[in-house]
Amino acid sequence: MGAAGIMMPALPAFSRSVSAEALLEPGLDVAVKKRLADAALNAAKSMGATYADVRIGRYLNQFVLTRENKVQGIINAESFGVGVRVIADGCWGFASVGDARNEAVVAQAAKTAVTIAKANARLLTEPVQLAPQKGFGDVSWKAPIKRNAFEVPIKEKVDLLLSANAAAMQNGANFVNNVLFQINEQKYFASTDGTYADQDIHRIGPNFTVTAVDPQSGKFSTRNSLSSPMGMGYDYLQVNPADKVTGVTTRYNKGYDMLEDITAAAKQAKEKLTAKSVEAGKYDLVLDPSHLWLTIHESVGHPLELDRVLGYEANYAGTSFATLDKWKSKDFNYGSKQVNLIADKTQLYSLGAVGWDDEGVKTKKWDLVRDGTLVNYQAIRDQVHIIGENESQGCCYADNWSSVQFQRMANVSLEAGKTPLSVANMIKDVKKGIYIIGDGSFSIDQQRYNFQFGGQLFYEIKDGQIVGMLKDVAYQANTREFWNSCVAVCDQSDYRLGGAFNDGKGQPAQSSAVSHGSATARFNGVNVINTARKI
Amino acid sequence: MVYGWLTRELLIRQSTANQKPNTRTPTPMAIILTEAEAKALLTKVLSYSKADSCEVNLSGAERGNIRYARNEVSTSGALANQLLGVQSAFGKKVGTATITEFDDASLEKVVRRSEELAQLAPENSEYMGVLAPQQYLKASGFFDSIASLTPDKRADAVAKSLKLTRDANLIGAGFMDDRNGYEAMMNSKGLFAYYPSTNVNFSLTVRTDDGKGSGYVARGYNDFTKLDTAAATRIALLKAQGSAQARAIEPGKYTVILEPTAAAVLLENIFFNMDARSADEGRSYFSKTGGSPGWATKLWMSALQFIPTRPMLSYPHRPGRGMDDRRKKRCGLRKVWLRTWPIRASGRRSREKKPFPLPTM
Repeated sequence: MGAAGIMMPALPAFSRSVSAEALLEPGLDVAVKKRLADAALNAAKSMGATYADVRIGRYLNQFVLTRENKVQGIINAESFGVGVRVIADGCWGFASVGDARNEAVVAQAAKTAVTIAKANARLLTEPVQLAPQKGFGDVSWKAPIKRNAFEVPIKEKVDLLLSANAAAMQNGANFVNNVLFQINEQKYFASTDGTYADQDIHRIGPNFTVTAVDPQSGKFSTRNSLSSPMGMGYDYLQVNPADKVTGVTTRYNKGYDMLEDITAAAKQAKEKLTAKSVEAGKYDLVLDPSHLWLTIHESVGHPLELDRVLGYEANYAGTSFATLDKWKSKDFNYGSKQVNLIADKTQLYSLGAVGWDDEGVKTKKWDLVRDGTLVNYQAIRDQVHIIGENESQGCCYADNWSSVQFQRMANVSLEAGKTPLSVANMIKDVKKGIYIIGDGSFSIDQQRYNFQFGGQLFYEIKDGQIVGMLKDVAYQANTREFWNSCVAVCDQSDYRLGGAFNDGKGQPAQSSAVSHGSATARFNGVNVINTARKI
Repeated sequence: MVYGWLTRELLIRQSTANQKPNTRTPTPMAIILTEAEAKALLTKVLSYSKADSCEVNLSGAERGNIRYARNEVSTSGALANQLLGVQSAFGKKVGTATITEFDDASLEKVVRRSEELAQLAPENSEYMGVLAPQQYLKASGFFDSIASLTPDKRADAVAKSLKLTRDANLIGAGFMDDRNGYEAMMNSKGLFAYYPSTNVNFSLTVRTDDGKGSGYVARGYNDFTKLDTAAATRIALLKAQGSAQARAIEPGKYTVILEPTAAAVLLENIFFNMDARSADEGRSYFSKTGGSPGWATKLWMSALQFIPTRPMLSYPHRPGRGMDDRRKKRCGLRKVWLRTWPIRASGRRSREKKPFPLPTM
């Protein structure tokens, strides 16, 4: 897979390759997991921990990778282990154990975590303040899948991808990379608060890149799939006409038609080679959900993570322009009145949906920006006292049993407009605009303020009509002026999810998967640059 | 595997109380194997092979880290891991399997699994076979100062940094991560390589209270005694204080001077896009018709001259692929930048008959 190829999600730490059949084997029985968890919790308490939690995780991955008429690889991987987090002498400590199936080994990890906490306690001036959390007892949660992707024969998946690749080549592509990612997190959480949560989380991510090359000019263009990674099973790949949004090109909701999309992609990649290069200037932008999710992710999801705001990520992922004084003012106009941004860890079919987070908090939905005003952040148990709350918002996550959990982004989405508005009617009122579909390359500063976003497909709008394809388009803005330029959001019938499989943060680095929903939205007078310009 | 700084040696035990009892014999296994131990284990694994060719890679590492922000320690942890990977080939059909258990039954099972996968795999026209025995440059990247690190020593190093930032009324956020490990490989052509190494990385961002001033510093060594967290912190302090009153500039053309850390990060990003296959296929900035090799050559040659940590982080051979170190010769030649692209693609280039290792930047 070349540079024009697709980024592959990282395998969980310490994965071992297994057979496809092994992915269907049941993990440890819940009773065994509870016994292991209790061993760790008791060991931690006996060493002086005032709080402890345990995560017993089995992480299953299957990646099918193809290009043109070749299968490049089929990866089946399993990672199993236990992570123990404690507070001792007011300080966090963490240790983990791989392939741990007996109480003694898990207890030893708990003791190691306590030892680390006590060694580091002298570096604190204030002890960790953990928001209280009631115990929920024995609870469980399962992703709403209709067809477990691991139960689908590999041949069926390979046949689908190679058929799609053939369709792309028949329709003008020179190259095609096509991959299918399937993930299952079997996660058991227990804490000294008295929660024992057994959860079964599934994600799927089909993704391709089609490339068209013009050897005469040395130019090439690509078109990525308009799919989204989803918190679903193989049912996402079942074609359903009701899940299609037709228009200048077809987009997809909770069901993805790979063959249809890749056929269009091949034609559009060729069309892009000769498309009109955009004239830089101010345009009204009409942004499809397949594009807008990424802008939401970078300019809303990240800056409203409280750990970034407070400086916990200053040395790696970055900080935030959305400082506490802006939130305290209660009148900071993050966006226009049309802008309502919510965080939601319960949203059906989303990548971030779970029943309980990784520190035993029942998940929920809450406002971040209401009627354009900044009203809240995303925060976890050791942070919420800083914003005057006494209950976590339930967005703590670790990407593996070997990783320590910390604050991660919830599904952050733009609410659909309350009044009926279709995409066609939105475009009808645009005099000089660009309709952008699909996410592309982007750049944003470490405070998540000044940014630039590209896309996959760009269509010029003149006097309410789409008049043709453009290329070399990127828009530049800062977060506040961009969201304040939002003048309309289509209604719920156009609402769709996009998302990221690999959102990176933390040291050592961890990834998380998160969805972002929206309906098509209009932003007036945004600065558009020509990315092919000579400087 | 046991992940914890306390456990340099471990016993992999399986509980009879488990609902999925494991009948394998408990196997004493160190995380860090000596050269002789690694060679014995790899020889055993290769003895199970029935493939045309076979390559076995073995690694083990113990890691510890400590993170701080807002002038307070935040999270910290420790872990250790080991992994054995087998790549079997029948002609150009290649299969790879990995394992984290090291009893005899598991070792044979992973070899069989890689052979099954190879038989099922389509032919890989780019497969170049396993390497013959190599001559390696002598280097040592292993230092006991890191192998013997404890949480207390890590905390001491961070305490020196925190004292400076607190005393200066500035805010520090940093991370220190150390690793003690080894890599070893053996293949059916008789190549054996073993390389123990240690490293520690420290990075720090210091900011002024109003967030207007910020300074970053990063250091990496094989030897913990070389890491002076206080000296590094003073650099970040100076940058933070000096940038607090910085004025905004208009977009335009400027002469830019990059410190080594900034240049290295830039080069990393360029390097990972110097993919020979994409260039061959005409879909890269570096493609002959659309690219500008003159620019790349110049940049590449310049890059080699300002890497102050390179001698300390030298990586004499890469047991992962087992290639000898010809970087110096190749990177020292003018206009060879195309040949220094990643190994994964080099085999399909008609003018490149032999594999060569990844360059160090």
